[in-house]
Amino acid sequence: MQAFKRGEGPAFRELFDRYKNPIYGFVRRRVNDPGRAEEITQDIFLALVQHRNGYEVRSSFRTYLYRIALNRVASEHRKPNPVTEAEPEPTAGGNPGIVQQVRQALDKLEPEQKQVVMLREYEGLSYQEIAKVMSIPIGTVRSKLFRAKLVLRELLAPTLAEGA
Amino acid sequence: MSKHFVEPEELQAYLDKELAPARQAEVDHHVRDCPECSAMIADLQKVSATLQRWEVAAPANLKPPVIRDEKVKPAFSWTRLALTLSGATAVVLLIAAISIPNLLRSRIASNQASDTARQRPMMTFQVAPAPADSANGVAEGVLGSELKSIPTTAGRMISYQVSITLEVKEFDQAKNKLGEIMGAEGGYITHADFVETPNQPRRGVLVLRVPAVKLATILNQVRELGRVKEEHLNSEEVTEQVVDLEARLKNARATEQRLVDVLNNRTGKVGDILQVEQEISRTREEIERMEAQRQNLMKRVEMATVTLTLAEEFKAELQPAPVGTLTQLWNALVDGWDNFSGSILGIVFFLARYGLSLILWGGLAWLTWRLSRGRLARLAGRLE
Repeated sequence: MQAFKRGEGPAFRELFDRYKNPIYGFVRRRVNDPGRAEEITQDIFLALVQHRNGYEVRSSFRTYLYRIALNRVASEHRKPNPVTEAEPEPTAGGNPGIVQQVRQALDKLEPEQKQVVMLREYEGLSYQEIAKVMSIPIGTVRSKLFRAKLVLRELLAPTLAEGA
Repeated sequence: MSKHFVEPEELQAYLDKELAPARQAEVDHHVRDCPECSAMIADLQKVSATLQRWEVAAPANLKPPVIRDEKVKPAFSWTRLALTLSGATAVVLLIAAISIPNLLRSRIASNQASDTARQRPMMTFQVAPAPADSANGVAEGVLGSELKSIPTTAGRMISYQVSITLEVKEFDQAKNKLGEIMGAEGGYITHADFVETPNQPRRGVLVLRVPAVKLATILNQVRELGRVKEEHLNSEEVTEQVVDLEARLKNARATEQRLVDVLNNRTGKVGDILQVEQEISRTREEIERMEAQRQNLMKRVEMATVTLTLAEEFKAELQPAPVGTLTQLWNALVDGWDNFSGSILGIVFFLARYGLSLILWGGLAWLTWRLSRGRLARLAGRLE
């Protein structure tokens, strides 16, 4: 990361290779258009390069990167005509119907609850990392995550029964 | 039935291994014995497993963004900071080295100028006497070899008007030097106007007439008096006007001569003779008018006009810093001491000056009062 901060190209390439899949997944789960998701992913890495001086080596790089990603996606959603048309779900496996149910269930959560759940379940961030990315207390992360899970348990009850 | 000492929220944190190790062990122990919590944990695990079924695969051709400038916003560097600060310091020192001597010089010049202004009741200016008008060799003069920096065209008569604005450090010195130049080069000053406003740089406008043959030389000397702020040169060719005037003059003189011949060989009536004389008079008036015009043109060609604006260099006057409270207090104490010592000295001087007189007259008054008091007492005793 220090090499990247000094502006070394190979270091950036290594970071891109390491984080391109998680970041694309992060964006793709929040933006319906796959092409747009690719562009936003590239934008996030571009912003990372342009603002690399704002990163402090002592802090977590992952937190820094996801914070950029979260802001970038939020600005995308603030645009007047965001892409809202649902595309076929990008599933690497599994039942597309279940994926659709999961999406719908997540969409019914409160925005903060949804972000907390997704950052925990899909991005695998720790509670502390989620707290930093979302700028909320760690206790709030814990309570929101638990409540979101309870709501999801109700919303996904049929699916859970099938899985059982 | 096991006792519930675990908060429901802790179950999710327990699953995510986000509890402190000791608490994690306690909850682990509790969950084994608590079917209710175990069921909740199972549900939470099922929810997570279901969420995980939404998988996203990144496209294989996802490429990194095109970065045009890898060195945009370079990282902070102590070396770069040190170099930047050193450069900035060097620039500041350079500016100070250039400006401080000039500022000091301006201050000295300001003081000298102020002293001169105090000593001078009226503005005086030494001007060279104006040379007698002469139209001889005008064309040769204008086209002379000395006029090097001003464009000329052979065989033409050109009138030059130059205007220069000079900023000078020593205003009086520049004026005197200008007078010397005019005297040495045969020029003169036709108009001088000076403005002197308190706390403002002095300014003067002078209209000079200088021999056109020496215009370039004089301009070079004038430029050396200060810094040239503006300079304009206008030229007007008057060759055609002069040639036309000379032709008309020649014709008028020939007419005059013929009329004079007619008058000398008069054979006609008296009325005719009078008419010829009137015609001679009219012709002569015309000749004189044209001659004056011609001389005026020649003078313009011979003597170039230079309008010189002299502006004294602006002198930055340092404003005194505001006086602090301690300084004001100290000044008040000093003033108080001055007043006190002045009062004592005043009393001493008063006593020295009038003390003896006061003792004398006071003593006399006291004696008079005592005597009159004694007499009055005795008189009262007698009456009783």
